[in-house]
Amino acid sequence: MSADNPYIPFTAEIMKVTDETPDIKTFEINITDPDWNHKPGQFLELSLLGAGECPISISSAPIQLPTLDLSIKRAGIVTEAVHQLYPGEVVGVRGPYGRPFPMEEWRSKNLLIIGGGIGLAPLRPIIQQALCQRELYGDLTILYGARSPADLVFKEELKEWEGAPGTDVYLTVDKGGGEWDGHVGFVPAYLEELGPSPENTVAVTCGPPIMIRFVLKALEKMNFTPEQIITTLEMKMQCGVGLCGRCGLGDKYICIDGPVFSYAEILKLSPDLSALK
Amino acid sequence: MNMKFLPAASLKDWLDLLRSHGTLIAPVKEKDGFIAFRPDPDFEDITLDYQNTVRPIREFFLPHSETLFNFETVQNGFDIERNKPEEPLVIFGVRLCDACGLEALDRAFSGKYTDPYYTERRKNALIISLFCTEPHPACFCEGVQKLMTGPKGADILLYPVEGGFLADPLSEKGDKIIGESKKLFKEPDAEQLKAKDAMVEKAVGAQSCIVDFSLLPEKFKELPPSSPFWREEGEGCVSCGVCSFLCPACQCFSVQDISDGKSGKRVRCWATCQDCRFAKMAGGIDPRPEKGERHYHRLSHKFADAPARNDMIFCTGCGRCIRYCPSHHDVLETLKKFLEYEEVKP
Repeated sequence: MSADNPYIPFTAEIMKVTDETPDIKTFEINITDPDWNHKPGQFLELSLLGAGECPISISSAPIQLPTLDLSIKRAGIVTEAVHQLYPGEVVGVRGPYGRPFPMEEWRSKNLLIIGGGIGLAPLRPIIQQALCQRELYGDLTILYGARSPADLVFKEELKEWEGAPGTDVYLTVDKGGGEWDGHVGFVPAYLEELGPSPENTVAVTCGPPIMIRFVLKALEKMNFTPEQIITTLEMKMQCGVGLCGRCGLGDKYICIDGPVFSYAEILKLSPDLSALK
Repeated sequence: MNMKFLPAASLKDWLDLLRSHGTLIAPVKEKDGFIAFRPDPDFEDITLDYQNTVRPIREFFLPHSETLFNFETVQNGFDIERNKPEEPLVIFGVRLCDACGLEALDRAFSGKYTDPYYTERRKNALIISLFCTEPHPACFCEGVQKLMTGPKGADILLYPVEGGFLADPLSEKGDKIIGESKKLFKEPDAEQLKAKDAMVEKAVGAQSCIVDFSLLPEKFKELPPSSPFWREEGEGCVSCGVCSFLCPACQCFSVQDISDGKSGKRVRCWATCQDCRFAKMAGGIDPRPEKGERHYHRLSHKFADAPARNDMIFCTGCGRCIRYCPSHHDVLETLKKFLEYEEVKP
């Protein structure tokens, strides 16, 4: 990053493109900046000069550096343009930005990861890091859902996680079909069905705002305290560095004070949960 | 730092000296009768006979659109070219509210990261304020910021008195500038100082403010954007954003690329939180689809969140959002009603 100008991106080459779902691709990009060091939960600003810039969660753990993954759903102008790119082409990046997940505070605790759709992308670095430092954390439970079996991301990795030590993976889809013989139903309902214990556990969730709302309610019902629940908030971000004023929520900016917040913090910032519309 | 007296006859000479510090920007009367800040005006065209300009001086520091950088696609990447440094600005005749707006933007644009474009212009600029002898009825700068008695953001404040101006250096830079043109300035006499105090007292007395701003942060917590109060408050708003675009203390901007496919530029332009697209994300999710929610956002940002984050209310009492709102929303009336509002609980 340019020392005096936070708006200037640098180039990063695309090394690999993986089709995850009909509208999600994972781009592995090469970061040449030797000082780059991100943590799970952080994001970067992705530039396609001519198309624009947008914030994208980093979906791989730091151990993968000097490359990192960006799992991108085709949803707007920039993401649409990125989807047209192939390995060998370059993108612009700047970052990493945002408050990461407080993984140091989670040591020796059980981790309950609850993801929906593309929402698994920012959670994946937690899982990768916890599996890499397995002895530092307690049980790892992953509950992940998508609209349909085809919309599940990281399909190969989900299988690997199932076989990892001390790890349980629960998958669900809103609508089954085809060869799907797994669980069918929404994530919050499946969560209640599974009824995980709040004992010595941190619940981390990310997904569509409506899913997060119901997951928060379900966790509360299961006696998780607001401090035990961590999520990432989505808000229209533009500059990523707390200057453009776009992602304000209460006296916080999502880009520099978040995107990771505990439910306790969200209740202070947005007591009526209108931030999760 | 001592106050000096500048005889009216010396104003032209002083302004000529100031022109050597950068581009002089001063209020001139346009053909259509409006007063606007214009660069490099002839002395004869400069007017000091105005309550305030329609547009604040914010645009000289945060232009309504500007290029962040130019780019060109090359093999294996892109080249980025930064903009060249600009001429320093000397802005003369700035009202207290507009100078205070810069103080707010100074805080908004320097936090964890600093905005290099704004900061560069600001660092190089000289702001010369002009005291308001006759505030407009919509003004409330004393009520919200105590500006009449504690001006902020300017380097020098001029008080128009009989035969000239009392020049009060508010910053070291301002003091230095006055010191450089010692010959033009005189020591003020007791009469002039008395006249200045009387002027301040009269101006303070001419303003009334119906809102106790200190009560607002708690109230915003109490009545969230989903409250019926805000739904009602949003009615009639046409989401034109004039309240943001004319605000001396609004910072928000939007970034986009303009390109011919090979080369182009990344530009930013003002954005208003009253626009229905302001918070809407790719994929269509919008946390603030209702006008009332957007009003809540704007006002809570200015009167509750900015004090918490930047230790300052981001409203300078200039009254422009009241004077120019096409649907006659009056921020003071709204805040007064808001403070009095009791939610009927079922």
